[in-house]
Amino acid sequence: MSAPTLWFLFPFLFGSLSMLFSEKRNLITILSIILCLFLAVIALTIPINSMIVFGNNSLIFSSSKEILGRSLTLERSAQPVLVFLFLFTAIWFFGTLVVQVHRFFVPIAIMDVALIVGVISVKPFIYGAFFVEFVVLLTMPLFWVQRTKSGDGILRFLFFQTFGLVFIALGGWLSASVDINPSDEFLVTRAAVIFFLGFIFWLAIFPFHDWIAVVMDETCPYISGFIMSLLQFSTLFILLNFLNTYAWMRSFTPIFSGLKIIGTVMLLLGSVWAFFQKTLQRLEAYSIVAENGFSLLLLGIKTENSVHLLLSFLIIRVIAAAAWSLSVKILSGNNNVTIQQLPGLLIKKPVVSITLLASFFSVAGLPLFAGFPLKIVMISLGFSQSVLIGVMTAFGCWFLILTGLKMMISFLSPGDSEIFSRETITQNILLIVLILIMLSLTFFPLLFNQFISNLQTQFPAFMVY
Amino acid sequence: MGISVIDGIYLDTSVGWTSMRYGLPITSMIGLGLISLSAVFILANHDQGEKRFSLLAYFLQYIGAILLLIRIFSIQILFIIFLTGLMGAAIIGTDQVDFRAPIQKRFFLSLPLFRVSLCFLVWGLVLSIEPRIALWIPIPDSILFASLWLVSIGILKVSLDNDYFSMILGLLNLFFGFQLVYILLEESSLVFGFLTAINLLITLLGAFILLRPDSAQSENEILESRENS
Repeated sequence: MSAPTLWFLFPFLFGSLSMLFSEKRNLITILSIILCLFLAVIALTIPINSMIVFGNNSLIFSSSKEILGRSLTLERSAQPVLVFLFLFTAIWFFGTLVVQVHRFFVPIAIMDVALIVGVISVKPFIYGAFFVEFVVLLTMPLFWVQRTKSGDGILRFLFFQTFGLVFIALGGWLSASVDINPSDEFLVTRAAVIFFLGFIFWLAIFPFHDWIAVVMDETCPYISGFIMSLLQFSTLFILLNFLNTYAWMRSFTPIFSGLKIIGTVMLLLGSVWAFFQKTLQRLEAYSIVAENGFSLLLLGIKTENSVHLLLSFLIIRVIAAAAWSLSVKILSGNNNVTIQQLPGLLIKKPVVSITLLASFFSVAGLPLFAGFPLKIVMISLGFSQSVLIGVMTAFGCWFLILTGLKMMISFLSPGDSEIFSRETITQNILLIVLILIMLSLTFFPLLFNQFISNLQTQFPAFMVY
Repeated sequence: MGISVIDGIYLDTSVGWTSMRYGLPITSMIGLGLISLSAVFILANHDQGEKRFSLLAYFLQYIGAILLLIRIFSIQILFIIFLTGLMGAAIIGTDQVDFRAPIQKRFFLSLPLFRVSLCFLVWGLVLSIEPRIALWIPIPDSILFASLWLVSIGILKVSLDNDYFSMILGLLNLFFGFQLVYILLEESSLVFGFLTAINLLITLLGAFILLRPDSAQSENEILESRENS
């Protein structure tokens, strides 16, 4: 038995087979939750590359699996990511028990998660880009049948993800050539430029940022929330892996200066755009753009501390996205909700409103929420680079918080909107659990930091021993 | 990567600052011609009523690619490329072509002059930048040219047309251009399999999108999923 078979092939096969029985929605969802929890528990308890003894038999739990001359490898350092990925998926699947989601969501989502494990495990890591494209292609039919508008944004999403794949794959190949002769500056520049062009498409970097807002606006919020979280997670993972693998890239300073500038601009523009959006999903989309800016800025700073911050933000973002998507789905079904419809929401749907605010403020970094200490460190890191970066970072943070406050004022103001029905008890229970998870990140920081440190062992180049 | 040149057609050209000598085997010349003309045809045809010619041109691109690659890859790999093109055209065309309908000659009468002249411009542009790109992508010039040409036409097709069929065809053009380069750069069966699978999945997705062009149908799907739950 090998780790990739267990965490990649098995869930992928399960997902594809369960599509055949998707009519039995609840049964498939419960089985998928059990599978995800089982895989998470194994990742938590059984170390990879160990011998499992049961009775007179034994089983070697190896780390690698060869496929057509290339290998899928999951080392022990990857186990925290696996635990997180499968627990995160189980939480999303619990959500499908309390809201109406398309019957193919659970089977496709479990295949997507398996593919993301593929991104983590494939060697050379650059082939992960192909797995990301598979995630996009698998999910597109779901986006298409659940769309509420013309679908042009969904097609744009497909085109940009494919453009991204083209550039990242070529950049990855060039990088491998540079590794042989890192003194060739011509090749180094080409490789870096082409590689990062790919990330411009994937991370919705200005000026190719609008697809994220259009996709989130046009399709089911629950499905788009899940897919965007997975895609952002895997893209940043590939980027970190890239910087971790190539020493020449870490010493190529123009890249890091560029990342800092692009990151700061994205942060500021994303947060300003988020403030002026009229619908909840577009607001969330632009806050993702701003958070991607944060991530790029932290990568540009490239210290152990900044990578620790980046991973912490990534985890907080993914958890907050689950809470946000579930709340919006409960609120509106497949339709989009405008800010003008929200007055009086706190009275009509108190738990949903609080979850929306808690999720947004966890990422924006309001005091007492998980993002706050990280944003403080972030701003001081920004000022350590230059006054301009520090000021812009602070402005970006403030705009995000102001956006949240604007939303809160809207919830609190009197209104008699009758479009929202009351929440059900099961929905409330799940939302409260999600709020507690988000708050626990604030109140148990040692546990959270320990988890992030374990996660960071995957990227030894960014660690100081 | 070297190719032996037998019975080739030799052509000396001076492009920008560099002077190149193209020595192409006859198969590559035919392949290049097929790819170039069929891509022009795909871009020029924006008659939404007649899709047979576009699909035929799409398939001919794969035949052209096979002729380009015939001296490099084994027959098995070439057969897979042939099947990818054939199945791609068949999958997209299944619901889009009415074989009983008479061939519409409107296209031939009103061949869009702007798009054809745009193709000439792009062709010249690709010819001029190819030698520079060849400095850092070590594959035969003819294949690199075909690849850049397909990518350019793909981008133009996606940008200029707004019907789903043309956009999907543009994306397939673009991806096939990339595939041509990448299968020569990465000599791995896994990568070849990935690229072929992605190509076919885009085709399948295109067929799916073309089957459900209106959001009214998707509303029904949503309702159906609610009832099922």
